[in-house]
Amino acid sequence: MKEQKKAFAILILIFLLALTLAGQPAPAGAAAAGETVLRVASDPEGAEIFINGEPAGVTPAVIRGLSPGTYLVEVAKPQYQTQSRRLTVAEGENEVKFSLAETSLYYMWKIMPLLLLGAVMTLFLTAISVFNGIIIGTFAGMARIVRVRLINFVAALYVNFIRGTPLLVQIFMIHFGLPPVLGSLFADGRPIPLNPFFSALTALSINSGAYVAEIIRAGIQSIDRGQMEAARSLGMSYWQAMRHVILPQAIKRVIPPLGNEFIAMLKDSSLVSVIGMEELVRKAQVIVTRTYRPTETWLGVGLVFLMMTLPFTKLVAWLERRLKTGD
Amino acid sequence: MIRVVDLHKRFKNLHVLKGITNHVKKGEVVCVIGPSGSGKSTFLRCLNLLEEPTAGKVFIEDVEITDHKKVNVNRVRAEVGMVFQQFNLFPHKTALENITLGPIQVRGLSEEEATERAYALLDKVGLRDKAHEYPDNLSGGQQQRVAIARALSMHPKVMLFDEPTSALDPEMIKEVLDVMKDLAKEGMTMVVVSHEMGFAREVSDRVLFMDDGVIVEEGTPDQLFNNPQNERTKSFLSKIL
Repeated sequence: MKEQKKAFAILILIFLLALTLAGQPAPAGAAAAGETVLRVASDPEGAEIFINGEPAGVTPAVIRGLSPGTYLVEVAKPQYQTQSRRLTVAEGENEVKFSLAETSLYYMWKIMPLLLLGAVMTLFLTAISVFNGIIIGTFAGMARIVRVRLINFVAALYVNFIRGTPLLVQIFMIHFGLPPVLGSLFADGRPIPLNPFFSALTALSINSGAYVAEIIRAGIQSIDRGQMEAARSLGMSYWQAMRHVILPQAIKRVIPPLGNEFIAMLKDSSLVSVIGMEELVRKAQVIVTRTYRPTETWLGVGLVFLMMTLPFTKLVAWLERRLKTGD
Repeated sequence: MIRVVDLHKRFKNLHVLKGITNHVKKGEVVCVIGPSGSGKSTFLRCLNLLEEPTAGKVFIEDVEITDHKKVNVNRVRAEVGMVFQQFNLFPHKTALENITLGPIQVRGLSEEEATERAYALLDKVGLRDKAHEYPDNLSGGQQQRVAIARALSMHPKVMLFDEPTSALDPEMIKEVLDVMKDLAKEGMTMVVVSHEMGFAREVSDRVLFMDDGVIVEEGTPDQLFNNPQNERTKSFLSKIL
């Protein structure tokens, strides 16, 4: 009998020791008469507790032995905003729960991977669109100069239409306007829905092409007339002169404005978020609906855009300086 | 060699050439002088169709180059060398590349062959050591000599010079004129629009005096400079000599 009691007592001791070590709250109803029990919890856990400025453990915690009265309870966790509450502790059970918010910096750090994922899509969309735009724009730009009225007219129509209408409208025209047309052509009138990625890429490429066309046209026309005359007087054809004399010189002058076009497209591509393209801006919208923290989210988006445009701005300025000396 | 019949050129309302008729013989050096705005340059540019004549005919070696149906303009220009007032060298190409571009692209020469010929031409204008320089690194006189070599690279039948020394500093004029004199001595047919009366007097076989879109007077340098018949010629010469 005695042996059994001893073993039981040791078991209880070990149990209690384990409890204290784990910092687990004691089972409910542990408050003795005239005693106070204060349970402090936080989400997330692991915040340091201060009662009237004195350290009092780490959440979740059970604090005993406070005399009844009013206390300033404060919880602090690195990367989270410190919170405090004035609390009246009465005899018996008391409970307080803090919901901790990340500091702005930590929040922005945490959403950064998501934003960067969006930024990669933004960069990808922009790079492909401007690349397509350069191909379209080179033809359209030359089409504006060539001495064939009909070609001039078509090219001018394209350039003026695109430059004279908002990119947003162009995106809608392709994403929402095209499906019924495609449907009536290929699917007995049932609209053919377009993939947002396809719509975005098409709209941005066509848009970029028009701006690049103007850059190419200006670049070619900025080459002195004498260059064309000298080439032609050697017996070269118009296209030979273009290829070997005019274009090589025009390309140098066209590179800086093309860089600027890239930067502009980087920013304007944000408009494709409206058709659900998951680029930087769309990613941010999704994040905000989840976190309700628009201020830091959009600030973060701005910073990511700046991180992308700033190096290119510097690059363009450097190119401008370099190409000027070699002209 | 070059026959011009009743050549007219209008720019919208401006009647620049009012009926020019002339004949330049093979090996002849003809200088065209006259006040600015008289149509000298336009006349010259009509000879390789850089300007399209409004009316009249131009024959080069009995081929009517103003006949669009029968004539390939590019072929005509390959046979007529042109040197410009502003040189118009290709700034993105070296002196050598400026000279080889035409032969390679238009004549279909191999690069080695074109380069070999280009060096010979650079020797001729005294600029072999500048072969790999870009035009920006050459003086005006050197640029114009390269431009002459470039025009010669096509082995033209005629050379046209459009005020070749007007954009040059005085000390560089001589080096360009010397190259032109050598060319004249070799028997090249040349039409030169110039303000260089010394050159006209010394080198040319015939001088044309143009004013207001017509050839007012023509003759040997001796006739024209020492014994001008027309009042306008006299007054022009009295101003510049």
